Amino acid sequence: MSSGSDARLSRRRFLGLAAATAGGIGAAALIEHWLMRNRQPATGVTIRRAASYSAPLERLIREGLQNHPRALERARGGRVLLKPNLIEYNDARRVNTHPSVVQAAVDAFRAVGAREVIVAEGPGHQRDTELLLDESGLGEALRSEKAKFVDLNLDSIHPVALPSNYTRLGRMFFPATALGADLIVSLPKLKTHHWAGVTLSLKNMFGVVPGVKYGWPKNVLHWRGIHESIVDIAVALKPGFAIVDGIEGMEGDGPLFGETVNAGVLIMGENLTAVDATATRVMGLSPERVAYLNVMLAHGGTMNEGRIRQFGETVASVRREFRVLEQFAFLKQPPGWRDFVRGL
Amino acid sequence: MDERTNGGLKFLRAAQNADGGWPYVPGGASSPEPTCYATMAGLDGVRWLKARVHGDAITLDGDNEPHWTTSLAVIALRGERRLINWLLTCEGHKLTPQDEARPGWPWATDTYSWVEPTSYALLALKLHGGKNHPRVTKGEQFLLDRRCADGGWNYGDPKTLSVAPPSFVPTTALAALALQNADAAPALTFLDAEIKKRPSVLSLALTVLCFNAFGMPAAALMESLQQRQRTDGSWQGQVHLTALAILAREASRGGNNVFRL
Repeated sequence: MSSGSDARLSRRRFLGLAAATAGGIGAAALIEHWLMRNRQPATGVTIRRAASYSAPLERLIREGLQNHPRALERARGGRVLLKPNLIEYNDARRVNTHPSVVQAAVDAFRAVGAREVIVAEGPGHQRDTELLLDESGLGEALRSEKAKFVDLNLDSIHPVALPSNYTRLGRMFFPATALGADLIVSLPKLKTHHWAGVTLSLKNMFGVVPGVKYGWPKNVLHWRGIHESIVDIAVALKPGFAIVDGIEGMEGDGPLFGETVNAGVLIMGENLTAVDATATRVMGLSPERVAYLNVMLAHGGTMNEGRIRQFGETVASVRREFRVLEQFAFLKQPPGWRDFVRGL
Repeated sequence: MDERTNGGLKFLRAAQNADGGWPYVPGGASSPEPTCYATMAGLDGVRWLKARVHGDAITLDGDNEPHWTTSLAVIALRGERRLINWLLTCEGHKLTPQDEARPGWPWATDTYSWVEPTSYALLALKLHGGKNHPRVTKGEQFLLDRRCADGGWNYGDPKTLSVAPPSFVPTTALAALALQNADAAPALTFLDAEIKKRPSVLSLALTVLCFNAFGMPAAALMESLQQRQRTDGSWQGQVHLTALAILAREASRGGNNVFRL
């Protein structure tokens, strides 16, 4: 994600823009939104097919990285933090980033010259991280890679002023390991979300928020607003690359209780808004209707398809129709002039 | 004291920071939770903890908000009155209609109540003279309201939309310890079945302490916990887990159980 935008939105304007995604909009917010949508930085997103977790994932990621020179440059000689989605373990459901994808990302970043690759996560519900690592298979994968794992819930923490401050927290504590990384790579699962609509690389950053300060669950993020928190965390930490595990995604009652969709894709890029917008389109949903993606446009995010250069597969060629809960049926409606008038 | 406990204590002593507190992982910054557990295990973190009391609650360095470890500090400091008084006034926001009458305790200021901080608060208050306080009774009711269909507890959400999520072992053991009465019976059944399927250091240590408090046998669990001790004397290389494992060992060997009411 670019940090080039100096635009700042007040909470009131945030709410105006967020409302614009669901209906009901003021003229000022409409004009501002139009301007932001048409001033988005050009960026690229890579989509690669991977039918299963036995595909050559390391090669796919390494090749994909070549399309994203800024991330590549930060990775070379630097400390790379890989942040998978490890939330809970469920025998029957694919809720976490698959260990094979994490393993492949470790190998790929080592191969392009990273000085150190750390895998780090702060699970949001279950503080027994040892159990989660064992049950998910991630622990074994990391041992075979001799890769270091940091439990971000228990790391040393430091307060950081929030440049965007939509949550009105003023500052948030973050783990030293995340603050000390040269490149933070978000490794989410391609999933629907029962509160946010979709959970992808930006929402995945919730796991960086330390439980030692905010608890299990990190309820302050919900209390202060999920969309507001997503943007505040992204603007403060500036994750610089994302690899979405869409080989098996989740539809319906995600992020925990939905059903598996064999979507067969990896989606990568350095502008996380563009990655998430592309992933949302792959799910058959409209990113223009996701509140936090709209607000990210004020912070260097790109959503407009005309500003996203597509590498590898096209969205149309891998698009699936993900089922959503009834309250998110509006995400299925494509954006058009009526949405623009009605409130995007 | 036996060799295993000594090994654990040696690890803890080596992990203590120059400021007198303990980090979660050696080399990190001191933090209240590991310092509380190391103190409960018999080491001296009293001065460090007392220096973190501001406005009658524990606070993190660089922060001025009351921290959830205030409950653990009551136990570690053996009943610090001003911390107890703060706990008696602390309530989380109300998530459900039942919470209005029967509030629990939150992790952080201005958020909802959850199972784990409520369990710590109940243990702290009941261990230090508040067993019959009306706030304790309400807190116990909160736990019963948040119990999952399988008899145990997860973080505090027994129903998400139309789904009944499963319980977790650590939170179930803590909530059962906080109750320590007949209401905990279904939780003990849950723990007995689940701990065999999914053992971990945290789960084993808390379940041993829980079973010990209820007079239930836990020798096999203790054996499993001992096997997980590393050559450096630690459990998982983490301070709070090592201290908890030492506390579980001491209780299972007939010594003090810090959580027994």
